[in-house]
Amino acid sequence: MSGAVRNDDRWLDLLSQRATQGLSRREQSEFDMMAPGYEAEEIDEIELAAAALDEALRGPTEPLPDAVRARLETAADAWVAQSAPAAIPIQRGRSRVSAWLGWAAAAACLLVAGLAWMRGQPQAPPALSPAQQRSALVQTQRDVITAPWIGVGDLPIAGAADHPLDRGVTGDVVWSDAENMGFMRISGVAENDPKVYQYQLWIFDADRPAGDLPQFAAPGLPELLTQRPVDGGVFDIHPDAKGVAVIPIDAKLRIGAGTIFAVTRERPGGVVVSDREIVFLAIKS
Amino acid sequence: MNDGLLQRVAAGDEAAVRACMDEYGGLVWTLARRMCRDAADAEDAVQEVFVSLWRSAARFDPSIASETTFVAMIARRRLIDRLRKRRSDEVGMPEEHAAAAPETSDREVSEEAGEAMRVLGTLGDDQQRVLRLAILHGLPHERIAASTGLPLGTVKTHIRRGLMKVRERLGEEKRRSGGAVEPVS
Repeated sequence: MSGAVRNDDRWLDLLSQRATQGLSRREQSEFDMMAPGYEAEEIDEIELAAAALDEALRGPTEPLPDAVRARLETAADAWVAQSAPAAIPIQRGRSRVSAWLGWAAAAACLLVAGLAWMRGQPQAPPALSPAQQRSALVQTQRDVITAPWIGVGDLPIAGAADHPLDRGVTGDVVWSDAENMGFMRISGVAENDPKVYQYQLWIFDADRPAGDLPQFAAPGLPELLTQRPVDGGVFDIHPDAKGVAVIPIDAKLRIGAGTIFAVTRERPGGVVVSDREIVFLAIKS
Repeated sequence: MNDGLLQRVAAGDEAAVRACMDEYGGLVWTLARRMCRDAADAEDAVQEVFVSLWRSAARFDPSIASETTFVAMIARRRLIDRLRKRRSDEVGMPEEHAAAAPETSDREVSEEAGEAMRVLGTLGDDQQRVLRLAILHGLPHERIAASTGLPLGTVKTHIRRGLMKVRERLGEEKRRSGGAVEPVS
């Protein structure tokens, strides 16, 4: 019983800290481990209390400056353009939306709209392919990193050899910490039969502690690989006509600083804890 | 006050997306200016907050909180994330500025804010001061301890217990009102 009370006290400490100054890396890891035991409503309650206090304490609000409003209008137009296009009539009295119906403007709109849609929906709208979504992310997010794939055979460790499924991997990962979103572009890796095996992405976050899994330490390897990584999703590789597969990343937790992205071979459906049969990986430079 | 605005945003109502900016643009801007390093940073933050808000609109439940409080929660969450990422502790307002900010005014506030003020009034001077520094100024707890001379553990306890009291009061009011949250003047 006393152990449960201590856990609740610690949970409340973490919630209070999260609602006022944010959490450190270790605290965020602790929070992520405890959060599944609580309802989303319970998690929000302390932040709502902080928000209520904030409103009570602050003075009158300042008006939104015109320049900021204009910028928000653009973002809102993109958001609206991608949300339920069949339900919202195309014709509007707004000249900006009408102008977007032009071919060139429509193409740009789709890219930005695709990003706004992706933020709000679990699946992409039919109009945007993963490749287009990837382009939208790269073009609109300033914090996007791009890291090329390397085979495990290229790692600076003794006896390193490429995985048999790596047929000369090329491509890259693009990732935005701010949006907790990214895409893999892969070619040169064996296409899989999902009934036999699947690929699974693991994200190593520099904002989280390393060392939980010391068995994965090795001279020449980044210490971050001893971290318990975040599941980035199970996927299949079915290249297009050009031999390229573009796959959205499905991070199961919030990533603070995505740094290493490793793809393993796993049983169908993926695993919670991997044996680290790494096929290829990408390391943020 | 726009009733059901966020629910309409969640439904894809274009007019509601724009009305959301009209209704909450000032609130989000005010929070961003207070918690960001400069105006340019605040502009970026405001856009991020609104995208988060439109994305989160489907989560809003009027039986749990008012729209204003929900919007402020989303904004604070995003702004605190940005603050933490930058690991900067110089963006909080100087205490002198906070003293000048009125705690009550003729402006309309949500019922939650009214209840929060009532709770604040029941707390001791030290606890009130700590909560103001944490909530309004966004100061790290270590800075609050240094500023007030209180032990860090006491600061953390004041914050936790203060937020819990507000949470409990809001929960009581919600149950008393049957889940409806209305603004008060």
